[in-house]
Amino acid sequence: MSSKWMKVAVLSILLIILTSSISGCAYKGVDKRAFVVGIGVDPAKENGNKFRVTLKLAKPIASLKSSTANEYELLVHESDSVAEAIRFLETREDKVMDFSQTKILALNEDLLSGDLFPLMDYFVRRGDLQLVLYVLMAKPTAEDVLKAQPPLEAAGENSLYNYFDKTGTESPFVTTTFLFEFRRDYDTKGKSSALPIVEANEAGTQLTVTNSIVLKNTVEPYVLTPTETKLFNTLVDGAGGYGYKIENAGYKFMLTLDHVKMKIKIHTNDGQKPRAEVKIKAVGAISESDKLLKLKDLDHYSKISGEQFGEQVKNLFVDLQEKNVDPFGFGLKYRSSRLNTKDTLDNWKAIYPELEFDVKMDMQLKSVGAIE
Amino acid sequence: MSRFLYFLIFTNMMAIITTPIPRILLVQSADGAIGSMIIGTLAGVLFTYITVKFFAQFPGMDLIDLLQTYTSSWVRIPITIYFTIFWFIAGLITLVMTVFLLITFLTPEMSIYIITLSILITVFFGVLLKSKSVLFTLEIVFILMIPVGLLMFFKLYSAPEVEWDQARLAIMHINQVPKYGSIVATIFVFLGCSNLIIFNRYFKEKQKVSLLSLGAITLFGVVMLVTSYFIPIGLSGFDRIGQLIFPWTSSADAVRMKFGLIERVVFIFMFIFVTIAFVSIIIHWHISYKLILSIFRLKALQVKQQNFTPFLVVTVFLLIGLWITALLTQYELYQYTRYYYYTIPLFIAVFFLTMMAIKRGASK
Amino acid sequence: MTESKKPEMPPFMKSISEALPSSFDVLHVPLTLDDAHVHLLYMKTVVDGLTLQQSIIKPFYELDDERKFGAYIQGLPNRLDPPQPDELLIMLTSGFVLVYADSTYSILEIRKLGNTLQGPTISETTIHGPQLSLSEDLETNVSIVRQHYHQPNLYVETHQLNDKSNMSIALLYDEKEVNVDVLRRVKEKLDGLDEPLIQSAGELAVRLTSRRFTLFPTSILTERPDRIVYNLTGGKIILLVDNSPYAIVLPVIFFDFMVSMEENYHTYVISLYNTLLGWFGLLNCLLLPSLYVAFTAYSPEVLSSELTLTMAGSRIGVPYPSFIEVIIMLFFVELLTEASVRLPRSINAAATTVGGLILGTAATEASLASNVLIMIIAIVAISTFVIPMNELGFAVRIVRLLIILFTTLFGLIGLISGLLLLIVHLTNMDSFGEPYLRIGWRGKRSEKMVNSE
Repeated sequence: MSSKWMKVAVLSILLIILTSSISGCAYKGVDKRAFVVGIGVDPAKENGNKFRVTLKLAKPIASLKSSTANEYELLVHESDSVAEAIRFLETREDKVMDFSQTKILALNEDLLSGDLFPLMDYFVRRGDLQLVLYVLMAKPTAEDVLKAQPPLEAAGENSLYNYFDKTGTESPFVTTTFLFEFRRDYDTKGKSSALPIVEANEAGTQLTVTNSIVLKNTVEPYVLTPTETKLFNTLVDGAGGYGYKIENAGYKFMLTLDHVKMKIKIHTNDGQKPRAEVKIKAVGAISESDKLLKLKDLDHYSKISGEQFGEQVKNLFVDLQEKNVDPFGFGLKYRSSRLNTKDTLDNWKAIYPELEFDVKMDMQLKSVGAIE
Repeated sequence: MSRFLYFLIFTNMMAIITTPIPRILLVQSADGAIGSMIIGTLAGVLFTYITVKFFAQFPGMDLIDLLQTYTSSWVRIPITIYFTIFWFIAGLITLVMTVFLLITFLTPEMSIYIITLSILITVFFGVLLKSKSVLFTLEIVFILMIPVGLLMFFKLYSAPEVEWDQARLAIMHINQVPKYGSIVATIFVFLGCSNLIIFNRYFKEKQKVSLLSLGAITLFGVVMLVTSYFIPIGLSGFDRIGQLIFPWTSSADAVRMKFGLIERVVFIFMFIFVTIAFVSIIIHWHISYKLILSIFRLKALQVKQQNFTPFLVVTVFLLIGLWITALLTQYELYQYTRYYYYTIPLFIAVFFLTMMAIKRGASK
Repeated sequence: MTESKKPEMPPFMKSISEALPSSFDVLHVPLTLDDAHVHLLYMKTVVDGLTLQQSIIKPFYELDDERKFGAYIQGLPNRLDPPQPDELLIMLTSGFVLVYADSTYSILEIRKLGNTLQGPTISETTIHGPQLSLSEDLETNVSIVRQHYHQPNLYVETHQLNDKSNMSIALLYDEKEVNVDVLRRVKEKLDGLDEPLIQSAGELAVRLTSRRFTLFPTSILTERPDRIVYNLTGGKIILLVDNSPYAIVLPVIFFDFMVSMEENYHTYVISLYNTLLGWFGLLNCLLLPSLYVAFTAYSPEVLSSELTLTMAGSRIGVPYPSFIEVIIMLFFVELLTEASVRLPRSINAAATTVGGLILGTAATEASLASNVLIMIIAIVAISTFVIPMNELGFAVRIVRLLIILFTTLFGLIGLISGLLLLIVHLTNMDSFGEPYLRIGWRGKRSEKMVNSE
């Protein structure tokens, strides 16, 4: 009995002490927090500072049903470092800034050349930022992209999220790059990271995501064209979709691809030129054609579109190789397929410029659409 | 083998996420971690086999009984004190690490004392439980964690976010010489069976160590090692993994549930591992507490029929825990923990010598 | 029958009669016919007059001979030899008749039976199971159990409490299945009871537990004959108390409280689903309020961003922190629940509906509570009733306040801590020597698991 009393006494004393001492130490009600949904970083306009940081704060809406549009607040400050700017911006709000729901990190194009480590340091060091936030390159400025408000955006929604989280649009033109992914690929020797480019129009009513940019600290960033972006996304994420243009043997097709799989193998046999064997398997259908198509010739169509598709892929590889960027991670493949030695990395640096691409295409067209 | 023995062993394996072991391994990822893990696993399984076999000879007796029956007190007391300290520190490491984890990821604004206290209140009552109830608690928690754990493993191993090329790249570093630090850290993963020194009292039926059960233990250990080693590499990349202070948690944040109420699955993972950490602290400190009570019971604290020494002992445990947690920095934690793991071979030696002494005493 | 004719009372009976209070219902009836003299001593209010007339008085006049009547009395099935005077007195107060015939004393049980009607089940209703509960009479109840459970192993031991009520209780158990240790412990407890007055099964159950301040019940109170039989086959001990329509089931483990009898009357999948629903309800009503506090006050980052913003929006204008909000609303719902128990059946539905609806709407309109919270409170209130056993429901309602307290103090980690503390408390408890919270590991019939380990 007395042991029970002892426990009760100890517990109650502890609780009394605690209640009186902490009352509201880390207790921050959700209504006393201002949720930052997006961070934008631009180069400073004024001299002497380095960064211009924009924070996009969401205003909670009491009744979603009766309100029609979102309300955001944008806070802008210029400073020498991101951390300093954010610390300054925090004083401009009466509420605690909560970065835990931040989903967008928009970076200005001008910031992306050169070494990104000093810039990225702050975002990773902060433990409360999500690693699954979307990193993107903003055009013309990060501020404009964060400011843009498409007319279709409903209350309680953030249209920028919808581009990337694949619950809304799933376009093959959209590269989705999370913060952790960006950092991982940026840090990995033998791979480059790719960011989507989001462009806001001047009126601030429309956002376009069609291009991507490939980054590596040692080389100049390389902007992929929309077609290249599409190919890149298709091969890396296996994301299919409409609009793969094929022109071969007198036919003009548009393909719809259901799924695409890519396998890379690096061969470095003695005496031969190093060769990357890329096997691609694609399954899809023809969605548009300039001629009448025969169902029984499907195999033939598969073959000619396969040839052409393979050609496009190979061109993309060669283009990237010439720019010395490697978003497909050939280098990583190389490193992860042979035992590590001191020279592995140096070897790869010598091999990559000479690498030959051997694209083996396996295109399977399942139908010609609803008509012949 | 009794299911409780599995729980003890598995809990120790799962609790490594909230110890510095993943970081110790990952820091040496380019420096022989894989070889070390293989050697450590083999040594750990061997240790498990010998320990379980040994205690199977004395069903229903714990180490305290055995020492009292078969050895003299000048052997018994130093050994008991050594084990008390060893187990206490094992619990302490988990405690400090868990607090650091929580303060970094869950409640950065909260005072470190408050977080520690919130853990210690429950630990206080947990440690004072009867040993049997500790086992029941362990079982309940373990069973409750199974669905969440399955979700976690499914999520981790099916996540498109994990880049397996990075894991392959890590495997390609197998040709490095294994390092002492990683080997002993891996052995610690398999030390769960040594908890038998107290809990063997409740295993009255003779334990049989079949090949199957050893296989299950090895498999679970390997899965936990792979999860704590390769998943962070796959998510955060091989080349800079050593920079992360909490490699596991930082990396698991990358996995997301697209359509879940909780989008960031890392919180579900943290829920599992914090709970397991609680139980792990309770088990370690409970053993430590039982051991110290076997040699030390203050007459002065006798009030009527109640002796208050247990309360005193556990309160001292808590105060030390609170003090150390507030005192240590992250760097010191890693450094001292590493030293602690360095002593594991000594521990194993003492453990086996004790076993031999008991056996000799028993055969006389 | 006049005073003058009344024959002399035999000496033993006289001493007994003097020990009895001179209350109006103590009757001494001498029967006289020719030479035959027979004396009856009984209490009118507890003896069944009709049976007395049928089985004693009428045969006396028909037989017309004291010797023959004496033999007849000796042959009656409900006859006993008179015990010690103290005991005899108690027996007289519970419906025995002291008969003096043919120079021998006999004691006959001609009790007026209590309420032998079986009412419909109230607190544990099922759709497919038996619809009748126990009656309020001990013997009827024992016979109900016997009729459900035709086994020679079924032992029925009767006991009498040593308190003022001197209530009879019956201990029922299956001799083959029962755990002897537990049986011994229960008997010791029963003998050691030191209470002035025990009136019902519920009270007895409370007195049997050694801990005063425990939240969780260590025995089940049930009104369902099928649950009694189900537990008998599991090796449990059933205590039946006279004048109480409830039986006590001992010992129990925590999981017994999560078994609804309904589950036995469905196919496997359906009953599994129902069991899961029960558990889900338990977790809901234990955790949801605390989760709300944790998510609105400490860790909004855990939820997805849309949900967080919705919660933040719904809390706009609420003038106090969320834990006060939760406690106020919970308290309000508790009041509603209690009110609906106290009110007469015909109006309680109306009262609770009106109270709930109007107050809920008004609270959100006035920004005194957030919409999300109103929903949570409603879910919690409903979930409480999904828990199969009422007693557990009560305990959970209190434990949930403690968990809210922990969460308010420590955030999400406090929630985990509080939950573990609950588990630690439950595993530390025992029910008559059997661990309270442990997993039985023999499939679904967890209630049957008593004698393992």
